[in-house]
Amino acid sequence: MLNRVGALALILVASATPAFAQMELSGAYTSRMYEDYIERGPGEFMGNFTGMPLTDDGRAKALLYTSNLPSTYERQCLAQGVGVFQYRPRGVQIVKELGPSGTDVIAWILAGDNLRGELRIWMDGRPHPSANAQHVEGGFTTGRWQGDILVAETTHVKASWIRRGVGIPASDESTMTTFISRHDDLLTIITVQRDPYYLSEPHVVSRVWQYDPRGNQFEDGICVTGNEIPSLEDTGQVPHYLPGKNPEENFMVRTFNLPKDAAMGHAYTLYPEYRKTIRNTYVPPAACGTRAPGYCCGWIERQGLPGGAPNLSCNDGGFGQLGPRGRTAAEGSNR
Amino acid sequence: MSGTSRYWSVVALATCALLMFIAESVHTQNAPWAWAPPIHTIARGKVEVVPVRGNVHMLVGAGGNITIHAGNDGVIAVDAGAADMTEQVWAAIQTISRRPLRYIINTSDREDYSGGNEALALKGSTIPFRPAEDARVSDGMRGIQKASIISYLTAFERMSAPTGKVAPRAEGAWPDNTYSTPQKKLPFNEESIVIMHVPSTTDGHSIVYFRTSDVISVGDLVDMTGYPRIDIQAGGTADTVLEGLNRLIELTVPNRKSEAGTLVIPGRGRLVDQPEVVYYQQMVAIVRDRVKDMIGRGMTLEQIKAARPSRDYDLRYGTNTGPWTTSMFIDAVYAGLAKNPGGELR
Repeated sequence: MLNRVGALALILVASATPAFAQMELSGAYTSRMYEDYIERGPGEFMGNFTGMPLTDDGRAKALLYTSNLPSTYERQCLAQGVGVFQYRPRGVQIVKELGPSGTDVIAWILAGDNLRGELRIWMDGRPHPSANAQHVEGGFTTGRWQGDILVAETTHVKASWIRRGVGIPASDESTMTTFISRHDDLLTIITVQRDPYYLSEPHVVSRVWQYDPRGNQFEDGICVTGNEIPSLEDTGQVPHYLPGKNPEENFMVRTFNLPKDAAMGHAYTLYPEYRKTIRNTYVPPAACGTRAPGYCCGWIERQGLPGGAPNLSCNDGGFGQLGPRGRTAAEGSNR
Repeated sequence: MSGTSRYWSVVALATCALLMFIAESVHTQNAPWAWAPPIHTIARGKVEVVPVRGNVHMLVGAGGNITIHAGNDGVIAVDAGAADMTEQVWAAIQTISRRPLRYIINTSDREDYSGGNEALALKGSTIPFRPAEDARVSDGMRGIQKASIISYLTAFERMSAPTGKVAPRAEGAWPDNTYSTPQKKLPFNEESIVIMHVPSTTDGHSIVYFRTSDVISVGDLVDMTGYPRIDIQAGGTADTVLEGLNRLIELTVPNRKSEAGTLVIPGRGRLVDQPEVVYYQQMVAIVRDRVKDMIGRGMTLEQIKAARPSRDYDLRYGTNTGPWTTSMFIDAVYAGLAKNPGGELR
């Protein structure tokens, strides 16, 4: 059945788009934040590993994480993982590099920024480097066109975190396949991350980006380290939670009544069948606004800025009154 | 249908199609882990030359990694690899430079790093102090048809033995150029080379800083293929390894976004830079802290091992077979903490 549906979808897509062998991807794209607004805007809650297929070892490693760790001097400028752009609020700038002929595209480049290495997709058929070569922030990536979809394979990455700020680990042996397709002004990027140690299944993320000709996403800045926490200034400090001591391990349980196995990233909780198993037992929190205001009414809305998720019922628990441009709690709850 | 709606329909269908394609690819695998990327292991017996920067190259596959610096003065090798790999090592060096091998610097006395000392040294020649035909040259100074071997004093002592006793290694493998100061400086090939005493896995460990090239060869202070091989009998502990790694982190200067800058040639495995040294130090510190906490709670060594204090790193760095197992690593961490239970790193 899956094959039939997939084939039908592919036929529909093929019939709806021009049959170009290669698409023009160059340009600036801004992130569209809807269901992923919380993740990409204010950021996730500590202890929230929902949607992640973690191994037991990956879970153990994620739970040792404290945000003091990247505050240490030698970790402040460590780049985020190669696929983390899918989880960040920033847009993405795509440029192409032409070969000596001036016509052949030898690389597509998803430009980096001050905390992310560029993803340079080589299109000229060069092989991946030796396993003994240095690994870099953006990894080493080669690409090919499958119809109108650019498919890229990334190896040689550094150990990092898959999501921003919650400690979900990626090892230096992880790899990523990226699918990039463009439909007029909309860009779809799907990433499939695999990790032999920390993921029990491939981790698939799909994001949509909006062409933004006025956007300047090319912020390849320099990260400058500074003293954030005096006690962490000396080389050698490694803040971490001992096993069983992470105070956020049960945050999602006590805040949203989620089953712990869903919060802790067990792969079987990713699938629709899991919803059936908890349908009769799950009780939503009575007032998520007071327990966790950021969940219902996030960072952008709290500042009174446009761009908040549409049709999201917002109960900010009074936080809307904090900012000069913020809405009142009543206005927020009526949206 | 409006233009926007049509776009969204197309995007949704494309996304569905791609996700189904991906899901189908995954589900067709027989083994649940068949999709996982390959885990790279270093094949011993075939020596690979990895260019590092400028005149510096890394040889992988001869036991411990070997660093080669080549120039007009000749060739320097940091470590010599295992004893049975000398011919392959020499062939690899010849692809880099035909100049004479002048020095071998041992980062430690371990077999994988110094086993090839004798045979490799005989491939080279020491820079003569005076021409051999000079009448002032004594017989002892004529025997220079071998490269000079440099090490920290205690590494030499572990390879040799006092007169009248049986040495663990043949005399030809012994370092003939030792130091017992914090560092030894060596200008060579227009490179400023600093050999530093950095007690870590043993108390006789050295690292070699090629300052002009901004490359540091660190021996088994960093092992990208496994846990640090802490030799308790030779003065190593988890804390001395951490002191060594902290010193290495302070010596290295990353480029912007904490990448590149100073490059580090590890004792085993691939070329790294400061962020990966930081990650390795983090692993050692976390395992050390967990074992220390368990000791503080009155747990025995067997109970600690059963609790798997290194569980989230075992698949990446551990093994249950070979000369250095996960169990041996935990033994060493435990023994070091037992020797110095109150030890605190800065």
